[in-house]
Amino acid sequence: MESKRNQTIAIARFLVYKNNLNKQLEGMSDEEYMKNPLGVDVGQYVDDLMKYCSETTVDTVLRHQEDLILRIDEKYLSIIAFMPYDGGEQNVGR
Amino acid sequence: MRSKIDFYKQFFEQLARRGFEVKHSESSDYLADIYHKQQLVAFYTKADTIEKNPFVSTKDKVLNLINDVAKATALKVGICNECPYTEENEKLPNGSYKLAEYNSVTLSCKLNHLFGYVFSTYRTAPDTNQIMQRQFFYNKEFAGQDFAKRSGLVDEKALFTETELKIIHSNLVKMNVLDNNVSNDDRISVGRIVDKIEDIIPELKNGDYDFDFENEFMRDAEIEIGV
Repeated sequence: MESKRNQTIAIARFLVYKNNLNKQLEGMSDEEYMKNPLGVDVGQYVDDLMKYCSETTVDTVLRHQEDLILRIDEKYLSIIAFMPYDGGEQNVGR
Repeated sequence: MRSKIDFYKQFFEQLARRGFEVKHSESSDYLADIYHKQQLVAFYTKADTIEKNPFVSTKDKVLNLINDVAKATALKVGICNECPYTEENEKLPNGSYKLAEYNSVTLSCKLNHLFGYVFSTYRTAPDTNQIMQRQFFYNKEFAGQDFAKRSGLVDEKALFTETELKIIHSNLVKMNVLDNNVSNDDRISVGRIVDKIEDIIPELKNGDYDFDFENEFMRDAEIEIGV
């Protein structure tokens, strides 16, 4: 099992990314999206989740992501997301 | 499902969860390129189909998995699977079926291979019969509401938007919890209104967590930042 620190950072980075993505997509029409598809690169963040968390945790985070963003708070998540992983940066940047 | 964007947001995430890598496509015909074990195995087209890369030999089970993920995601985000028309409904030139028409506004429906029964509302120009301002819906209720508003069957000003309902809901819940001056009868009435709003917007009902993530997250995070 990977360290709790890395698990926490990976989850926070994913949630911050999704929160920003949701804001960018708000009010966007399907036609606008087709011209500029956003969120295709979400896999980088999911890869980190899968690297540092158990499968159950990954599925829980994916399932409850919107609720978690609301409850944990954007600012708090951002602080965690900006921390470096133990062992250096290997996957997604901040 | 409000728009196809709801689907794409979850689809790319679910593909990554199953070990696929999704990248922006260079082609204007495709929305994304799908990689498996660093090989470009398929393309997701702007017509919402999955096309196999003809230059790479890929096992059928890999492509079936991509298709299964797409179908499962579409079901999860909420598409209409129940056919709303019969052969008695008028079939329109584009293959869709007319469900209703009033004041030059039409509600029609067509079966889509991925998104089930897709609805649209549009105006018809009185002189030219040209179709104008077509809007698509992936949910029967939203389509019906839009048709009723656009055709003038209901007065839009007399309706609450979903955002307004969420604000009313949140404040009614707060009032029931925090306001000690509310009588018991009023509290019961407010509870009924809260239930009614939750029936309209089910996401307002509290989901059950099967994992105390929040507690776990906060505790670890506090240790890390030295709180």
